[in-house]
Amino acid sequence: MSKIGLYLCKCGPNIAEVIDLDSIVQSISQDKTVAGVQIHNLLCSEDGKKFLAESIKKNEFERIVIAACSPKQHEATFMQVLSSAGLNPYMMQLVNIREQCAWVTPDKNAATAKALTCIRAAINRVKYHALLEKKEIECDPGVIIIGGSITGLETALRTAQHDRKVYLVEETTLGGRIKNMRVLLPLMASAREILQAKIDAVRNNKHIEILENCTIDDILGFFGNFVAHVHAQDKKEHELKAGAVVLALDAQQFTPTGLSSFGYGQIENVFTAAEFEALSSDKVVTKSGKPADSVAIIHCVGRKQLGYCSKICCANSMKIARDIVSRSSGTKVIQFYKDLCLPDKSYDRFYEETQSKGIQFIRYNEIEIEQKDGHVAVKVNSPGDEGIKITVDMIILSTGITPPSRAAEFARMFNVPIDEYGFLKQEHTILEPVSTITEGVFICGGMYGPGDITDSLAQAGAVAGKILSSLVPGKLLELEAKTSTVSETMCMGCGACVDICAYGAVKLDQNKNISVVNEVLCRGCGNCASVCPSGAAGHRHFTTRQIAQEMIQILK
Amino acid sequence: MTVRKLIHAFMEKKCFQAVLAPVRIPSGESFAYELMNDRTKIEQCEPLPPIMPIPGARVLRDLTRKGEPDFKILCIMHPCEIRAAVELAKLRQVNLNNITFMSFDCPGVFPTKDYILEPKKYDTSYDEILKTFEGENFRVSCTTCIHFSDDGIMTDIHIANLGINGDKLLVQALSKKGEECLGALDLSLDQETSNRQEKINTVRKKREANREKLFSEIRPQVKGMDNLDSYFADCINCHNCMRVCPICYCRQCFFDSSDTKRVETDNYVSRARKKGGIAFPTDTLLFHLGRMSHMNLSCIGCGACEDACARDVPVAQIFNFMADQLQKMFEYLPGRNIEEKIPVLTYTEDELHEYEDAKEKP
Repeated sequence: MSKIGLYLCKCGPNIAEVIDLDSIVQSISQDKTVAGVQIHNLLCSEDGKKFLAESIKKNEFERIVIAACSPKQHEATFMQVLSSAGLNPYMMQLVNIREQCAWVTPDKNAATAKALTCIRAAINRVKYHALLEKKEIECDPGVIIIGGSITGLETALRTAQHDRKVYLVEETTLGGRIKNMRVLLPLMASAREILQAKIDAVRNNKHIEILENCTIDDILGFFGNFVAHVHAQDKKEHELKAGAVVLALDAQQFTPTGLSSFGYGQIENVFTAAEFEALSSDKVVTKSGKPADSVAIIHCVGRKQLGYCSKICCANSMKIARDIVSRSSGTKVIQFYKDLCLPDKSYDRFYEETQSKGIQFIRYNEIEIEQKDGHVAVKVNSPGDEGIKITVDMIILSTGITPPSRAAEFARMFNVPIDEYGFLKQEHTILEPVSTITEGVFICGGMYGPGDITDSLAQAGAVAGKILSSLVPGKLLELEAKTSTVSETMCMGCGACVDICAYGAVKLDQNKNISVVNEVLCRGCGNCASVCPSGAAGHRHFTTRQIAQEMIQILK
Repeated sequence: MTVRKLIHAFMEKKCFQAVLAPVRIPSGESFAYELMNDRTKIEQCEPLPPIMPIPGARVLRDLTRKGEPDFKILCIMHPCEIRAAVELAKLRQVNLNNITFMSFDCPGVFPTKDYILEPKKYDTSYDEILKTFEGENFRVSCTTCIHFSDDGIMTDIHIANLGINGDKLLVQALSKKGEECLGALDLSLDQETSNRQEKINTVRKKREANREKLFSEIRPQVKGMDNLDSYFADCINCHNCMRVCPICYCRQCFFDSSDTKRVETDNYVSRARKKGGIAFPTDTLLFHLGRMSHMNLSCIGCGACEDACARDVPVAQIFNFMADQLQKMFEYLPGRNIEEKIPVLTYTEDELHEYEDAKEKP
């Protein structure tokens, strides 16, 4: 039988002032299976750890029970002491007689009695502990970037280096929303030139592998150890390994179908801003091909439905207005706005310059689009006005920004919560804007809310910084040692454990018709062991026998 | 037209190459499933035998667990056996490829123990019962079964025999497989003229009434530990019920494992001390409640457990009673649809609120 050593910690006065440790020593000394009991004032101190290691070696104890504080506090500490004393660190059980006994009640008798029961239970349990091996793997410093938007391109460029592979996965072709723009704020620079420069840089970078027309099916794993399954348009499947995942999908523009007052989809020559920008013709023409002499741009379309201001559409509308006028100097442009939102320091001047180009700004309370003799009419109620009606050739609806189409899916995939609007939640709104609560999963671009290009590029830089500093090549990852296993002889291949695993760590071996646990992905939650009716699936550190022996002592 | 003639017609057209059906054993006292393709043998099969010693789903499990047969088999089973097979298919213990099910309207079966003492008497009685579907002396589970026809089961060909007399046979194709088989025959098909649905409803109403009555009788008998102990007092922990249950698929039942069988003496002694005594064999209640928690969601109410019980413990009655409530909780019907996942394997964040903090469970 193994020699069991029991150590009781006074924890300064925290435990000793409530629990009668001497009486526990007396009771335990009658247990023949315990080779020795000792009390120490503060086991977690340098002196305490030294004492523990030396005592274990001197007494040649093989299994240890420590009655002290919460495992959350010092389980790791004492496991290290065991290692330094030459013992397998899993040959120990830490009993919480502080938070769960001394700090629960002032009643000394009750606290001492409970502590004694828990210690007895732990002694019984530790007899059945198995030698578990600590496993380490080298982290994969690579990055998978989902979304070939300008944000994705930028993140790829900033993270790719000689010892770090970057995968850029995009469902269509590279470029994102900017592909369909002509000019960019706030300088009215050519969207195509800026985008092409980024795309060229990415294509020329030998550390970046581009997977265009590819869709992510699933991503399993954790920080330092992700595995992604991707399929291409031609159905070919790829498996990508990386250490971090960046979600850089472009947000979408709200489509106002169903908002009848704007006539979208019902009245001709009513476009959303994104649709208008995507029109390829250099001339500003209506659907019939006739040049548009007058264009109305309506701001804040769908703002009430979305419930938030999308920050960039007012300036974007001005950008579109100025672009129209520069392409077609005779065209009259009127912007109908509710509240003018100009959050960037360059936008005030941008607004003045827009006005100076003859673009008219009219404030409105209510607005309605009608069809009138082949033209479109804008009926407006402005503050202080009875109402105006203006006929134009074309209407552009500036609608708000909505989450990327697969946002909810990816959120579920990575256990990242989404907010009430469908955007992904940042780890912390102030302190951690580009990471999520899932370690190793980062967000930028349109993933957590509306923003413009400068926002997106700044976020890309932030993500890159976090990845470069935390995912260092050569860094070792400690894997969970307390994993689940499936007995090959007992397993009947019913697949219940496969269905129930939240980490994708259990798979069916089709040949042998049994389940197999991937110990690298397993997080040791034990759900598989719970659902298996025969006990074929078990947990290395929570075996039926260990739990039963602990319970039996408690119920005695 | 008889069922046997129909089977032959199917085989001539190569709808399937073999038949898995009950055959009377040589002594005449019982029946066993046989896989056969010999015409003479098939002539002797009994598609609807008066007893069900072993549920057919178990046989199908032995046959197809390791893979599908490379020829088509017509599998003739009671509705409950088919439902069990579908549940097992969800658990990857049965492979339904190349299996065509043929089911019947089932009046019920006699307890095997009664039948084998006087087989001829029960045979005669059964022939009569098949005409009217009214009989006594059936298994208790059968008297409360409401899935005795084609509803709630995934069958391919259903022989609607309730209320059909004479030479005609009412055959329903209830799946694509079934349609293909029937379509392959050159038979003249008449329109259905019987008042079959009315007869089904009459039988179902009676069974539902039996069910309510039985459950209201069981409820007080199983409330609380003392009552449960009494209920299972005759149990000798032989585990026959588990062995014959079509759903129980574990290679080694957890309650046969060393975790429950190799118990330290100190364990028994301290339990005896605490409670003032301990009855042997121990842990019979643990076995029954444990097995119930493992398989009750898929329990199809066949009553094989009670049929096989060495001591006539009314096992099926309490298991059916619990299954009824548990399955209603999740709106789950085992065997209804192979795509319907067993509730223990699905996760819904928002559910079962009506069962929170309830003093008296609904």
